[in-house]
Amino acid sequence: MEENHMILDAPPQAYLTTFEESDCFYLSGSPSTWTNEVSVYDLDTKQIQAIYEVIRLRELEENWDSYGSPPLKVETINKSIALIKNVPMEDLPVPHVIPTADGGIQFEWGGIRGLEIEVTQNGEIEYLKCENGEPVEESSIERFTQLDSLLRWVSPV
Amino acid sequence: MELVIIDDTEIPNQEILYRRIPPEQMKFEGGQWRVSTGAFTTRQASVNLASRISPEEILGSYPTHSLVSFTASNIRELGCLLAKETGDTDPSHFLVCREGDLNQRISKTIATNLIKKVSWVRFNPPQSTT
Amino acid sequence: MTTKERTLSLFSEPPVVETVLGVQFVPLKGFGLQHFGLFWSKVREEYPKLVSQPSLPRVIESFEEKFVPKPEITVSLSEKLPGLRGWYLNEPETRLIQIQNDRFLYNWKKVKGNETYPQFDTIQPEFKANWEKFCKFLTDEDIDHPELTQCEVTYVNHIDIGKGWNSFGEFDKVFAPWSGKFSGRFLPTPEKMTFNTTFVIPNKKGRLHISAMPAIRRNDGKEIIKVELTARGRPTNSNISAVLEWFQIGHEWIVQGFTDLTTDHMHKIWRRTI
Repeated sequence: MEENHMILDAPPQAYLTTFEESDCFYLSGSPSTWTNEVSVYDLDTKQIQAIYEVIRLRELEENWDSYGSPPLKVETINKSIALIKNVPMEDLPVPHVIPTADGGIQFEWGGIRGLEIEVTQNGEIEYLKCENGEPVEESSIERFTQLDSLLRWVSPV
Repeated sequence: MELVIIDDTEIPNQEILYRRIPPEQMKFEGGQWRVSTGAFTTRQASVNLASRISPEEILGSYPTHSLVSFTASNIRELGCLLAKETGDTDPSHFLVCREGDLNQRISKTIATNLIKKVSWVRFNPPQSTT
Repeated sequence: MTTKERTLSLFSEPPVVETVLGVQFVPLKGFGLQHFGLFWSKVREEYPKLVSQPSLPRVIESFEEKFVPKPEITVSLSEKLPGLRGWYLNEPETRLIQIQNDRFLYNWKKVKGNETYPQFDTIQPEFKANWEKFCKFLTDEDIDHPELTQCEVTYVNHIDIGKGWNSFGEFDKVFAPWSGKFSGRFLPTPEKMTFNTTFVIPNKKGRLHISAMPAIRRNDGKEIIKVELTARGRPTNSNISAVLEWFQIGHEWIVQGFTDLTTDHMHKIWRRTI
């Protein structure tokens, strides 16, 4: 365990607050709770399956890749879950969910048009678009709303 | 960490390099098992020279892992190079780094193009598929 | 309270995973950023971890005429203090004190999943001790005793799949009001369900809010129905005795409400003894 320390930086990173599941607090749920679940009421089965795969990665231990990679950070897992919740998958298959050598979580869709979206260990979101196996664009996005154009690009015509 | 760049006079382009692939970084796609770019998108990717170590020695402690190979020229053509950490006493162990900034992460583009060149040396199918 | 004296329902294996006891109050004048650290020095031995969170909005149960259930959401900016909440955690992270300039909360949480629920009669004195410690701290810092506006009791329950129900469409196996019967034969079994419901506690003492939704537990990926019950209302005054009195009311409504809401089938699984 880390030694006692006080972390007071207000406000915390924005993305940490978006995982509060109590989004109906004014009528029912209490925002003062602490347990952390992923509400699946408005998710389709493919999103749920992808979330299961992300949660499964919590089991990875120190040096899981034999090259010294640490366990995945809770923040990386939480942000990956949030990303999947923002990825409607009606037109897409369930992505491959891959832990990266650098502590990130990567979602991969293959095909003539391939897409990789990675939540890095620093909380950034980076992507790669491929056509016929050739990389065509590699960059990063700032907000989940920018996922729309990526997903439209990779969805089958 | 202090790194020393190793050029082709010391490790020739045709030298074969090994890298372990854990089952979590493999995916079944297009009817076959493939390596994910996630296995390579790191700052310094460890590799071992095939001329100085056997596959069994590399995989000895990692029975569920697979092993892939590629050449030094494969990584040099993609804008990477081989380096050695000072103090590293393993004669077979080297690091694949980006040219220019040795601390820059290997990009997905580089990893995608590298994966096209890799060959399976030892293949251990993962127990579950995505 | 012994089992003999107890009249509230009791389960040997309740599905509760978190309880919260809390109070809201008029924003404290003079409460600043430094007080989060100063209070930590008072509790650090027992709560060695301090983490910042964004502050919670104020939520007050109102009983005005033509009441429209809307949150009284306010952003607290008193004393130029950013919207900040301090989390003080014990080492195993099973206990949590939450403080902001208009709220004090005390949480218990299951961590490993196999812990026994410590019972309300254990948690309430812990709240009392920490609340009194906080009030003494405020006095030492020349900050007025909090003027209470609301008390809150919350219970979070995880009803695991495979223990009495097998799909998110089987609400009728878990919840007594849901019969699972439609008036016609057109609709199939639901794929998922959720509900929110509110009850008024008599004499306008407050409200009980209940929500149920399908969820996945992050710790182990298990499918669950999350049932959250929150009782909220105004205490008669700002003394600790009034707070504890209200907590008893909230606790009763939550326990009896949860019992009425859920089926005998589930009560057997949770081993109801009273």
